[in-house]
Amino acid sequence: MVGSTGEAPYAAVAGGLVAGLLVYALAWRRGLHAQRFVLIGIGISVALSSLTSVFLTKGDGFQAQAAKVWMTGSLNGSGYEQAGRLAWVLLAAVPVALWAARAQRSISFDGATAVGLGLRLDRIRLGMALLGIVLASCAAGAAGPVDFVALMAPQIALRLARSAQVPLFCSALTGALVVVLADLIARRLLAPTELPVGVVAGTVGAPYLMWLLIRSRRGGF
Amino acid sequence: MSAHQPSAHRLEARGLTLAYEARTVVEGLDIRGPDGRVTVIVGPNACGKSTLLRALGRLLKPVRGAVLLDGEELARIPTKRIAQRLGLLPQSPTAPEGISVADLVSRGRQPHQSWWQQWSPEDETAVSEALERTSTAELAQGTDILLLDEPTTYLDIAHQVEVLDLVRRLNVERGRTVVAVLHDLNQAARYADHLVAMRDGRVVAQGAPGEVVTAELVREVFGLDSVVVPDPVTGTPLVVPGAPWASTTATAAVDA
Repeated sequence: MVGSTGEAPYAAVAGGLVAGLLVYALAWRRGLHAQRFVLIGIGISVALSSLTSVFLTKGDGFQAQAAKVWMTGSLNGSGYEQAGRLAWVLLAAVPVALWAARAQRSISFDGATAVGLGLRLDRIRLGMALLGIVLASCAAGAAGPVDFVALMAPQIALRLARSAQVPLFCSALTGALVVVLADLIARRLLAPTELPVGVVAGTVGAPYLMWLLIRSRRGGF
Repeated sequence: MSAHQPSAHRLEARGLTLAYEARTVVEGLDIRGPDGRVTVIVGPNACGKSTLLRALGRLLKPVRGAVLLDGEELARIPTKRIAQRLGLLPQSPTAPEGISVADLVSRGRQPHQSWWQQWSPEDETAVSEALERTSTAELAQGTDILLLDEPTTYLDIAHQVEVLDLVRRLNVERGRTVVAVLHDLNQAARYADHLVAMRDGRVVAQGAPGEVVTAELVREVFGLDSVVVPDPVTGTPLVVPGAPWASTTATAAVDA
């Protein structure tokens, strides 16, 4: 699975695309419906993680151990080589993300209103899904699937910026900050033992997000 | 669709058959929204009126037949060009939480914007216009033709009147063509120039409300006994349903 870390990013993008398109194809029924899309996504995700468990239990012990570290998400031993590869991806992805940020303005209405305003909803959704798959897969390929950051960062940014929709650059910065902070804690908390960043990211970010949610409900801004 | 004769109306549907999956809702329907007029579609629940409106607004592809906008088939016109001419207010629209009115209006102006020019003086006018009235993205869109799916749902009577008066003003002052689905037959009779009564996916009657709305029509379309009297304010037909249910003993007491 992670025989050599050099191939992991490519394998991650390929795997991500296959899984993502499978979800898309299964959820498509004369158009895309959010609920069906989410449910089928959860189903595919559970099926694939079962498959991963099979590999981990049946596979070679040493490799399985290495895979486990990668699977919790780890920045250990990451350097400019990985960062350089990600920079190329970002060079291509940032313009697409700018487009997505503008498109998001209109698809945050209900579907009928968005179509009424002249948007090609299916095309926009497919484009956004592909962008998400590529970005998530590249990040996972570089550092392993650090759970929860993608879900958490935009929500934190949204509440900090107090805007009506997810702010693009603020979200990206929040995500980076959460990961770096989590990594710092992971390395220092039980020093000299270094925890994988994935263990800490959720533990730090989730309570902060919950605090923001509770505060916004009380304050009602 | 073969070559069609030039249309006298900006929005019309010919031989329209509409279906969800295997269930046919509307079959072989011809309808037009007369230019510069308010057309109101009425009918019982599940008669296909909202489905028809969705098809007129390109939210639903017809199985057979076509919707024509300025004589051109909707399916052949790029969606953004449709959005410059035809606005659509769905039954229960949702906007992002905490959005400002100006932001909402600017999103409504999207069909008139391009990525290199996102704000124009006309947008400015649209904003002030929408701010002084009920502000919605659909109004800011500023199209000649407006499709409204039960715009008064969930509103109290004062707001219902406000919305319908706004529709009238847009029609009279700006010459907007309106096609709306309304639940309330009396409101439909008050505000429509052209009334279309539907049942089971077909048109039962259409024309001026004064000619169309009769006790017979109400019985045929809704299966309801009623008395139709002139509206004391507008003179348009006012449908008063038959006597409410009462227990037989109570009726006997009244009779006695």
